[in-house]
Amino acid sequence: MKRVFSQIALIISISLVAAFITRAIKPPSAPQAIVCDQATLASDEICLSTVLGEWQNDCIWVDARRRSDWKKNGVPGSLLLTTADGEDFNQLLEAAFPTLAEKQKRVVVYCSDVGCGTSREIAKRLRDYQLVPEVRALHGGWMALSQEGLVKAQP
Amino acid sequence: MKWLSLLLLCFTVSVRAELVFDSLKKEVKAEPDARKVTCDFSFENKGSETVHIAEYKATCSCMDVQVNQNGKLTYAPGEKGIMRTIFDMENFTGEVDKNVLVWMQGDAKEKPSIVLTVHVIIPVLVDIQPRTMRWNGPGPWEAQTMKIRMNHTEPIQIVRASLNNPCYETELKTIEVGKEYELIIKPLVKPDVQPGMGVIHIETDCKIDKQKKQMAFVVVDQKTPVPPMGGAQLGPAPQVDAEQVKP
Repeated sequence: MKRVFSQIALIISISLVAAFITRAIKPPSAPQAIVCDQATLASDEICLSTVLGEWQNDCIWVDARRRSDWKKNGVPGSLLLTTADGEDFNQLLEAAFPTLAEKQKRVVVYCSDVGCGTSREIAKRLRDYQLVPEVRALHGGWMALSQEGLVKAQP
Repeated sequence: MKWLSLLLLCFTVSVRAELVFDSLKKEVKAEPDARKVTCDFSFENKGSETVHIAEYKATCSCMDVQVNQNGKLTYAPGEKGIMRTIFDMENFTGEVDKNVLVWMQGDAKEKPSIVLTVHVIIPVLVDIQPRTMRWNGPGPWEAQTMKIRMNHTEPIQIVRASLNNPCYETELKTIEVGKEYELIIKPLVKPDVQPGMGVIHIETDCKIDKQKKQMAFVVVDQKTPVPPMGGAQLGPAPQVDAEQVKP
């Protein structure tokens, strides 16, 4: 019985040391990694790895978050197209129209994170206008971009 | 020894309490003139432990979320509740998905364990097809027709249709008053001027403000020849609103 308790004590000690090492390497406040699984990805979404790899980042980025967030840490060169905070989508689209029509590139729309549905809604609205060849919503949104260091760190 | 192993196992396996919703996605059909729509998600704690909702919020400022009994967040096994979502339709039309994120106690900030979706269908009263007309290659260009159909019980008439570029010729035809119209558009061949692109503003007498004004686009893309007959010419440089493009 004494042997059993000494083994338990040893296991606890090892676990504690491992926990301290983990904490030192990866603090608990570190954001959870965004995982993009191609197999379960919705048809109107796209993984960041595809945008950067297959598409070679040759696209127009559209920020579907609040204007204040876009100004603070949006993708450099991105366009603001959103319905957040009562923004007039048509007015924003009219302003963005020359860029979208002239460049004729694929469009990737992002909002804040995985749970945010605004990017998919904006992507659908853009598709309805048939202005650009392809429109997709970015899986993981701004969080995925932040993870890859493509935007300023603070959400 | 056996009971000790079992005890250790009990400590290592976390017991996850279950808050089960009647559905994670619900569809609501709104009246065209409705300002707000409400959608209720009922839930029950089907686990054996008391559960605590740490936080809940909608991903859009256009949606308000309320939990019954003045925002009760702790639920004993078997206890039921209702999460009410109130969607302010503002300037929305067509089909819209709005999410509500629910974090249970212990959830990571980045990963709420429950995502509720309200799929709202708001009738499109003024249907325009296509929304963008495009001509490729050098002129002369053929006229194209934009079809405008009114999908309402009451007639909706077009009050005004304008295109902000004089390099296009437009003609509005009434097929059936208050029901169906056609806008015929043709880019003009003018010496030393390229048609480029333009915005069409269509104003109707629709009583629902958000559907009163409609927008469509025209683009002549001379860089894309179909089929190539000669050297393509470049259109004028687009003017981008500086406020609209992030530096």
